[in-house]
Order: sequence, then structure tokens, then C-alpha cells
Amino acid sequence: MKRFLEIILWTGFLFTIAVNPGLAEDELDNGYYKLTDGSGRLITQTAHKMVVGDEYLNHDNNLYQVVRLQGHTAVAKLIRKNAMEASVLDECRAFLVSVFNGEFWRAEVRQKGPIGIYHTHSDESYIPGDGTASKPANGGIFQVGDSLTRSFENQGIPVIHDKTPHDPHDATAYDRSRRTAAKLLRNQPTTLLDVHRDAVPEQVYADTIGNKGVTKVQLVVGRQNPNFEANNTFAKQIKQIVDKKYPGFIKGIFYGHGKYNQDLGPRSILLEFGAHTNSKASAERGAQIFAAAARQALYGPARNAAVSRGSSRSLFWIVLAAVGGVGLFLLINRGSLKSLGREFTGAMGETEEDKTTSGSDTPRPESDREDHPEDPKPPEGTTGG
Amino acid sequence: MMSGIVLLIGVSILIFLGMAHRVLDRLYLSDRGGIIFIVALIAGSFIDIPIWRNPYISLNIGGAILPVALAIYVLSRAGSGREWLRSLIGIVLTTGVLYGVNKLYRFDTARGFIEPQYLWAIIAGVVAYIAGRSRRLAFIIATLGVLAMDIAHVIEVGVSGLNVPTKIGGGGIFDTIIIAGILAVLLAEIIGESREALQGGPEREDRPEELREALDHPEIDADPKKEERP
Repeated sequence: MKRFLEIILWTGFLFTIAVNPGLAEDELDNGYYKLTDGSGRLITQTAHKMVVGDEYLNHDNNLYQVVRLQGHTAVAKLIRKNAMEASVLDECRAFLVSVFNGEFWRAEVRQKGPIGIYHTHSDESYIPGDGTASKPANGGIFQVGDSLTRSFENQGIPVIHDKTPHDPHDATAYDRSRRTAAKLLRNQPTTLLDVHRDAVPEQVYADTIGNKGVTKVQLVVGRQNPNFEANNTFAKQIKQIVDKKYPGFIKGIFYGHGKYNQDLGPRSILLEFGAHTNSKASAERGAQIFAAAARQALYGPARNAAVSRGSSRSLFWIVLAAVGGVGLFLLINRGSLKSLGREFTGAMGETEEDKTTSGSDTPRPESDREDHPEDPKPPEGTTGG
Repeated sequence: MMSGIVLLIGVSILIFLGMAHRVLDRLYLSDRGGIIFIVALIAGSFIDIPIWRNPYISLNIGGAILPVALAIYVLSRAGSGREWLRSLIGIVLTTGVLYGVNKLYRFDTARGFIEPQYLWAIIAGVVAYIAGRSRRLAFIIATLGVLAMDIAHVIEVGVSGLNVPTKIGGGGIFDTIIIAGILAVLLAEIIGESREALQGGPEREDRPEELREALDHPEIDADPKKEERP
């Protein structure tokens, strides 16, 4: 009974923790955050909930970090000017990685696979054009995806545009769209694009190119993502290439809390074409401009080495963190470096004899048995065959 | 393939195997059985079995059928009626929490503080550890909990009349069912082992006499059948 009460209390506690921020965000349904610098100058407006530590790369490549919040105004400080330019240390590290992984000695990798396009939030729509901000399972965002598809195809780039709906627009939408992304991955796409729209006032995304109204594009990179380095490099590469043709057309790079299925590949990116307040026609034109301008980064003989270097760096940090984490974990549990060595010997291929010996020598073999008290069995049987 | 990447993957596989043999052992799988299971997961990731046409529902072998079968197998091996009951209470409670959080937790590019895939694993891992001090239960709850959310989705879209497919486990080995299951068991393992290490050994109070005897003299009870309960 005591255990049962304990479970209920803890469950309630976890539920409250998980849900509270969600409820707080309800206020944002009709609002948005303003990001300003120390002097009160507006940097951008966003529907993204901002917290201290959030970063934002603006169209001028200035990287800002949120230092404090005043209601829905986030005050940010400039942490790096020209953030697209790699530091000397980054360049040296990138050079060593490229020598190490062989890219330095090879020609550029040419991409061949199609571009995969899908929509996690398949209800997202544009009020001017669709009449509503949300059309379940058939949002106006599909037509923006169509416009992007046509533009790529006109340039001779194969595209797979998957219009699988992932409604409702809830927390598991990304779990469902992950399945669509995984299906697209079977076609070995060059790039995976998850196409969305934002939810801010019209002027934030409104732009004019060639006397026609278009929407700007925001790139979103997930921070809670083992592929972060690679995805971030890819996003910066897209921005750099598009900036050469249409400076300011890429509104910025937002670093969000999540991974948005970007862990599935180094060249996965989330794009936001305008907001629900912009017209769908302008978002479709924005998609055409983007497809033409970003071609070199998304397809073509792109500078894949940079993204691969990002990928290698991600992998390097993951392996380092895994070695550190596992080492610490085993050290805590085995109590000494000697028994830690024995653990690794076991992982490399332990014989039955070794098991018998190490089992009786292990200082705390009983720890393996604790979670199944009703079925005690001898420690030498724990690793099976 | 790039030599550096191959090297790093090799190192991570070794680390993975070092950890995996502990995790798989918790799930009643031998090392060899575990490897066969992982290969089957990868191969099964490519196969979707349609079970309904409108709205479309499919089950992926690697992403749904195999992990759910493993969860049910692990549940069936629970030693006693008490453990069964504890597992079932844990599953029902956590599934309810997961579903409630899914409906109330607002997550998209603009909202949310943690990736949902991690959140499901944290909730399942923590509740399972509290419910049964069990890594096995963590796996069962996370796997069946995410599956239950898929079933809820089928009902939800069915009621709303939307033609939205549900590809259960369609992400194959990358599916949330698998990732949440693995993360939950690792989390429960870390919480459990670290807690025991800090308190200087497993809890002994309220444990059966045979277990305490086995903890003190592990070499005595060589025959596990002797300890099986009816």
C-alpha cells in the first residue's frame, strides 16, 4: 500500500513537471516573444517560447544569446559577430578531422539521391489564402511543399514530396512524422526537409523580391540532438549560400529545444516559410526563391566535407561522452579500476570459465540480482551465452 | 567509407556491447540471443504489415512487433503474482500519464522544453523504477506505453473522421517505441545501480529469506529452479 501511494505521488509529480510548462505556454496561443538587445532594439519576433540561454543567429550572422526575460520580451546579448566565420581553432580542428577521415585526400562527393520533403504539422495553414490557420490533415503547408517540389524539379532535381498527415498537432506529431522520415530515408535522400510555417505577425516574415511579395525563411536546428554539430553546419551552409543571392531572405537560424527528427541524418533541416498571418501565395513564392537559391547547398556538388566534418565532430563527442559516462557508471558500480577492467574483458568475449572466476571475484555480484528478488539465481548465469 | 568514421563506429559498438550485455541480460536474453534480436530488429524495420485499410493502420516488424513481443515475454517471465500485479499497475498508471502528458504538453518548434521522445523514456524509467525497482518494468512500460499512445491515436482519428494513417513502429529501429524502451531501461539502470552503490548495496529489508541467503552466499544456490515459485 505504501509503495502504491508512493507510485501515485511520484506519478503526479512527474505529470505536473511535464505538463506545467505546457499550460504556461497556452498564453502564447495569441502572443509571441520579442527578442531585443540591451538597448531595447528589436532583433526579431517569434512564436518560439524563449528561455535564458537560447541562441538566435540573425540575418546579419550575429549570434545572440538570451540573458534575461521580462514577460514576453527576451533580452539578448551579442555573443559573436560574423558567427558564420569559423575561428582559427575551428579551422585547425576541421582540417585535422578532414585529414583523419580521408576527405582531404579526395575530390568532392557528388550527391545523387532525391530531396525528401515532408510536413510534421500537416494542419498548418495561412489565413490569407486558406481562410484559417489550421486545416486538419490538409493544411495549406502542403501547397508550399508543392511549390518547393516544382521549383526543384524544374532545375532537374528529383524530389519525393510525402503528404502523409500527422494530425493531431500534439506532442507525438514528431513521433508519427519520424515514421514518414524513416520511410523517405529508404530512398537514400540527399537532404530531408520538414516544411512548416511560424505563428508571428505578418511583418516579421514579409519581404519583397523582384517587386513581388514573398515570405522569408527561418531555419530551425534542434539542440537536444546527437547530430547537432552536423545539422548546424548544414544550416549555416544553406544560409551562407542563399545570403550571396538574396541577403536577408533567410530570416535567421533558431536553435530549438528538441531534435525534430534531425538525429536521423546530418542533412536534415526544418524550414519555416512565413507565418499564418502571411498570404499562402507569398509563402509559395518564398519557396520558389529558396529552392533556386539554396540549390547548391541542398543538392549539386555541395561542400559535403563541411557537413561530414560536423558529423564526425558529433560522433566524436558522442563517443567521448559515452566512454566517460559508461566508465563512470562502471566505476561507481564495480568500485575499483581492477574490476572495471574485468567488466570490459567480459564485454569483449568472456568464456564460461572466465565467468565462473570473475563472478566469484566480483566484489558486488549481488547488485545484478536486486531488481528481481523473487527469482534469485547464481551470478555466473547472469550473462547467458 | 571514411576510415575515421569506421574507427569511431567500431569503438561505439564495443561500448554498446559492453553496456548491451547488461541491458539484454535484464530482458532475459543471452548475448547471442541479443545480437540475433538486434539483427532481426534491423531487418524487420523494412517490413510493414497492413492490418486495416481506412484509415490505414500498419505494424512494422522491427519497430513494433518484435519489441512488443519482447516486452510481453519479459512480463510473462515475471516470477510471482505480486510482480505481475505490480507490473500491470505500473503499465496502466504510466500509460495514463504518458497519454495525459501527450495531450497537455505543447511541443513543436515554438514550444516545449524537452524532446518528447526523451520525455516518454524519463517518465517510463522513473515510474517503473519507483513501481518495481525494476529495469525490466521500465522497458515494458516505455514500450507498451508508446504503443498505447498509438492505439489512442487510432481511436482519436477514427472518432474525428480524419483519414490519417497510423504506422505503428514505422520508424523501425529508429522508432520511438524502441528508443524510449532502451533509454528507459538505461535510465532505470543508472538510477538503480547508482542508488545501490551510494547506499552500499541493495535493499535487504522486506526481502524474502532465500534472496538474502543468495545475496550473502551467491555460490550456494546453483540451481535456479530450486527458487522458482508456483
